[in-house]
Amino acid sequence: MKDGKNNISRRGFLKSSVAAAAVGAGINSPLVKGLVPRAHASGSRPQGEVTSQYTACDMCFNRCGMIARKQNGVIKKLDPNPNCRKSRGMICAKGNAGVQHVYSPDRLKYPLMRKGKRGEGKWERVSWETALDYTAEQLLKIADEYTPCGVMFTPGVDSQSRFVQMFCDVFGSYNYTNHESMCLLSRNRAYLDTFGEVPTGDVLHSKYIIISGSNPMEAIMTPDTIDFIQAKKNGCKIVVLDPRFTKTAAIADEWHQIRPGTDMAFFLALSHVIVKEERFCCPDKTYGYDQFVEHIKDYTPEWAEKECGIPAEDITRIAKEITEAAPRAMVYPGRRSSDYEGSTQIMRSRAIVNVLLDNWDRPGGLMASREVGVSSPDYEIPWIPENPPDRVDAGVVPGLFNHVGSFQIMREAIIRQEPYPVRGWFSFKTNFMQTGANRQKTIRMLENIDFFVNIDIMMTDSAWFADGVLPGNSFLERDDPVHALQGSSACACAFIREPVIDDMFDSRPPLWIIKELAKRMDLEHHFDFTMEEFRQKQVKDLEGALEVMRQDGIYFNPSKAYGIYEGDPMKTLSGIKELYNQRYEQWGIEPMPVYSPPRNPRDDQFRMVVGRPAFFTQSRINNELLTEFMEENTLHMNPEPALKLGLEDGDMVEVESSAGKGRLRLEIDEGIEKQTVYMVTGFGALSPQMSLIYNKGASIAEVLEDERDSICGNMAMHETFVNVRKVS
Amino acid sequence: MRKLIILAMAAAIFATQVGIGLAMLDGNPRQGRFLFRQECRPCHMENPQQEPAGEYLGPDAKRQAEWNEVFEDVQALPCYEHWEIDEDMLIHVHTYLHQGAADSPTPETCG
Repeated sequence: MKDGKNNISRRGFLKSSVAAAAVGAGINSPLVKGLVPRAHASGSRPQGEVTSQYTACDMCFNRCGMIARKQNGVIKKLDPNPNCRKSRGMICAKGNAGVQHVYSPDRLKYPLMRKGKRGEGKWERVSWETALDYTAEQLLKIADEYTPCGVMFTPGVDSQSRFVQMFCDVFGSYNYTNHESMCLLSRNRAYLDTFGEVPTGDVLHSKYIIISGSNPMEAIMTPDTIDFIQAKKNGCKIVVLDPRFTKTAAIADEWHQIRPGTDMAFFLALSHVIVKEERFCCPDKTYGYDQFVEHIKDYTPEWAEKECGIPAEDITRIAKEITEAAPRAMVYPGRRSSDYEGSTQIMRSRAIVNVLLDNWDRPGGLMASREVGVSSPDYEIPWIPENPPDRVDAGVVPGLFNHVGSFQIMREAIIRQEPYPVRGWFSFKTNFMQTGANRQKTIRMLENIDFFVNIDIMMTDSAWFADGVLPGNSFLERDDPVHALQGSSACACAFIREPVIDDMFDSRPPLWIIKELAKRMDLEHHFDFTMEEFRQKQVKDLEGALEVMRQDGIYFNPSKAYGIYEGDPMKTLSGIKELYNQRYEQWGIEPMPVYSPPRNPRDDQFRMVVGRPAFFTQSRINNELLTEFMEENTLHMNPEPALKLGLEDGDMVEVESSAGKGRLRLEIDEGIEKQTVYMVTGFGALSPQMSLIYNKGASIAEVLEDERDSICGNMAMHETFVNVRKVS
Repeated sequence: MRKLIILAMAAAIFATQVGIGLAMLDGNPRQGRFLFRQECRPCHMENPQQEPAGEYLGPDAKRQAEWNEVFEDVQALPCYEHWEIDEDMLIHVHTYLHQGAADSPTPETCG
């Protein structure tokens, strides 16, 4: 692989130097306007040949196929790869803005070491040699004093995060976590504990879909977001339950403004009707059917109406309609489920309706993971007897995922320094200062962190509080390993990235950084491979796959899409779908979802709910092309309470919880439930070097309280009550 | 790493210990992973490096109940006489395989 250091040709050096100088000169300089694609062509430069190269997007987790168009050494445009079935040959606004992600003047340019207090913004530019020596020295020092488990590793969503996981493992720490415990773990827990696997929804072939707790028209998921539109054209009925009139609600056939946190009541009542009217075909294919029938006998539609606000006759009708469409019908599994303390059980109630639709492993229903065929190269993990017996977040919740744990619980443990101290933090591309509820608590956690190193491409809020900041390169400057993807019924696929342009400034690939650190820790033998050698190991069972990836930008495995489990037991304890979860009984928790009404805000309070629009992904907002859609976030409020509070559209308001507060403009929204307010993620940055969002709007991390899912430790972001007042 | 050769005379005590382990499964799965890879994997990999060669095995190759069955009657395994691990180590390995089994709360896909 390219070592990022020594192989730059004179021609390449000149190209990157020109681009670097241009970006350093500022986005409004004439030179940059001549370079970046949206810019105003000066006409003074000779127009070189436009070359094209396949790559894959990195502006969110979807990894849609792309073609980078390059001219005069500069990426001019990113187009969709028409071969990419996962993204149905499309890219979204975020993908289009990927060029600006690379050429942003806010890119980190050199390794930096903190000179002032944390968060003070005093930095010293250092050489890579110095930065790496110091980082390795500090990590080893912490390992020596507190064992390797004294360092927490947090890689983000990235093709190279696997190398951070490797580094964490061979360094000897168990304390690894990522964004998942602020996102999708409750869904994963619920589906694993019902079906033994986390499914994808076969949206395209479905005839009836209930979407609850998801907003796929804005929180884009490919191919689902695109498939919803096509499915609807094909006659699929879409029913949305949401306290807000979202973009997804806008395309739905029915929208029901459900009271926040009461979704379980709806789904238990739906189950009640399906069972009572004997609309479920196959009780013998489930575990605990009789107990479940008894369990839901009092969860009638009339009872549910009082809880969730959806009329009983609608619940009964929807039960009838969806079972008539079954098995080509589903409750959409969604993704982010970090909402309530009871989110796992809420998701279980949805999963159970899917059981009753008998849609598992069938067209138009829920799909099991298809075979992609990409292997995970093996590596040795040392056993370090001095280490503590378990993760620092172990033993707090019964259903913790061993491999990712819970950031919420880890943070508590680090603050308390119990069960043992964790004094180091190695972060790659995570920005928990913007994504982790209760930012003040994250700042408090840092008081117990002796050394915090952050690899990223911009000075995020998290990097701003780090001791060392290492500039990673962007996805368009990278050699990446093979990345396997599930694309629902569209495909099971894999891709690679190869550099479209050379590393900008003094940035380096994550694997290069890890290799250099490993050298300084006597761990280099674990990383004794080139990227191409690693890829070859990944595709050892897929002859010719790498060539196809290079030729078409993506490789498809024509693996079985449906009936994967035919004749095989499911991966649950019983081997069949579990309405009654035996393991939950062993854990001392309810084996079937039991409804308890959510805590409600006082009359003078609102419940805060959060989400993202179609053009931002969490904290990756600092992008000139994307902030044109929204320069700062707003607080959505129903006109009725706004009137009572004397608030008008556009007023500056302060929103305050027990965790923190923020100021942002009010947006009157007739589509939001009266005691609910909403804002999007990513704004209110603390880092002045996130120049487009610094001090713009409010940060969800600042305002949200940090409750957690009581089963799996996922962050519970919708348990926060806030007061809102007008400020000048 | 300390190693003890399991003697045939210790088989009865060993089986009792394993029985206790089955009930409690309080071994250290991380130590179990290390031991599994050191002691079992060389014969239970795609291209076995040692004899007697066995089929590929990782935690998710079996369900929890199946792993319990295996460890209830370890002496019956054809490779039993080749093992060089003591009963404590075996409980670690059992815990590791059980915790990562196909039907476990957090299945592990590779060993």
